[in-house]
Amino acid sequence: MRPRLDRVARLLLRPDDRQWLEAALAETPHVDPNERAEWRAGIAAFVVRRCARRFAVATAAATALVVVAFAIGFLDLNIEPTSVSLLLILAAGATGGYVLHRSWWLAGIIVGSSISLTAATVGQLDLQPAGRAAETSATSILLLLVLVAPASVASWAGATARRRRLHTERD
Amino acid sequence: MARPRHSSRNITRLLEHMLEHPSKWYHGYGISRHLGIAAGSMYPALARLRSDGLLEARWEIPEDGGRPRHLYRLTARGSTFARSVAAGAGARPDVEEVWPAAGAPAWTQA
Repeated sequence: MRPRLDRVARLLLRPDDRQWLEAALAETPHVDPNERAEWRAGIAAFVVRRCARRFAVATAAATALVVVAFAIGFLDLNIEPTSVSLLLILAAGATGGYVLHRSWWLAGIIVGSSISLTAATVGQLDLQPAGRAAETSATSILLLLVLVAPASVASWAGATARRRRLHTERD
Repeated sequence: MARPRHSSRNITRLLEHMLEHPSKWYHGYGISRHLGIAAGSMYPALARLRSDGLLEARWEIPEDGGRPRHLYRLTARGSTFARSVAAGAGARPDVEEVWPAAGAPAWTQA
C-alpha cells in the first residue's frame, strides 16, 4: 500500500489490529519483488476485513435508524397527537443510543431530525396525506430540528444504560 | 453452533510449521512463503494465537540500521498445544488433556 493509504488504514483499525498492520508493512521490503503486489493485496484484505468487522454493527444500526427516522416522520404526518410522535422519538433515541453507545450523539441527531427531514422530503415530493397540511416552510422545518435535543438526551440515557451494563458484566 | 477458535486449517498448519523449531523466531514473510498463506489470512491467525498466549512476538532491530521486522515464536503453552495438534494428525485435539481445567481458554468451548 502507498504511504497515504497506510495512514488511512492506521486510522481505521483498532489499536490491536494496527500493530499487526505495522508488522505486515514492516515485512514488505523483505518480500520478493515478484510477490510484493500479492503481499500488499493480502494486507489490504486484512485491513478491509478488520474494518468491516469493526464498523459493520455501527453501519447497520445507523442505516436502521435512518429507516426508523423516516417511519416516525411518516407516522407523525398521519397521526394527530404530537405526544405519540414525541414518545416514538424518545423510544427510538434511547434504543439507538443503547445500540450505538459510542456514537450516541449520532443516534440523537438521526432520530431527532426525523420529523424535520420527512417534512422536507414530503414537501419536496408533494406527498403529504390528503386533508393534512404538512409543515413544509423552511422556517417550520428548521424549528422542528429542536427535537434533536430530547432525542439526544434519550440517546445519551440509552448509551449510559449500555455502558453501565458493560461495566457490570466486566466486574 | 460456534466454530472452535483454532479449528482453521491455516492455524493448524502454522502451529505444525512453528513446532519444527519451537524455540526459533519466525518472520511473517517466511511463514507465509513456506506455507503459501496470504498475508490477509496469516496475520489474523497470528493475532488469534497471540491473544490466546500461544505465541509471543517481538520486534527485531537490525544492527546495520535496516528496517525492523516483527518476529514470532511459540510459547510453552503454544508448543504444548501444537504438539497435541500434530499428534492428532489433523483432528482437533482433546483440549481437556492439553489444558487442565483452569488454564483452558474460552475458545476450547466449542
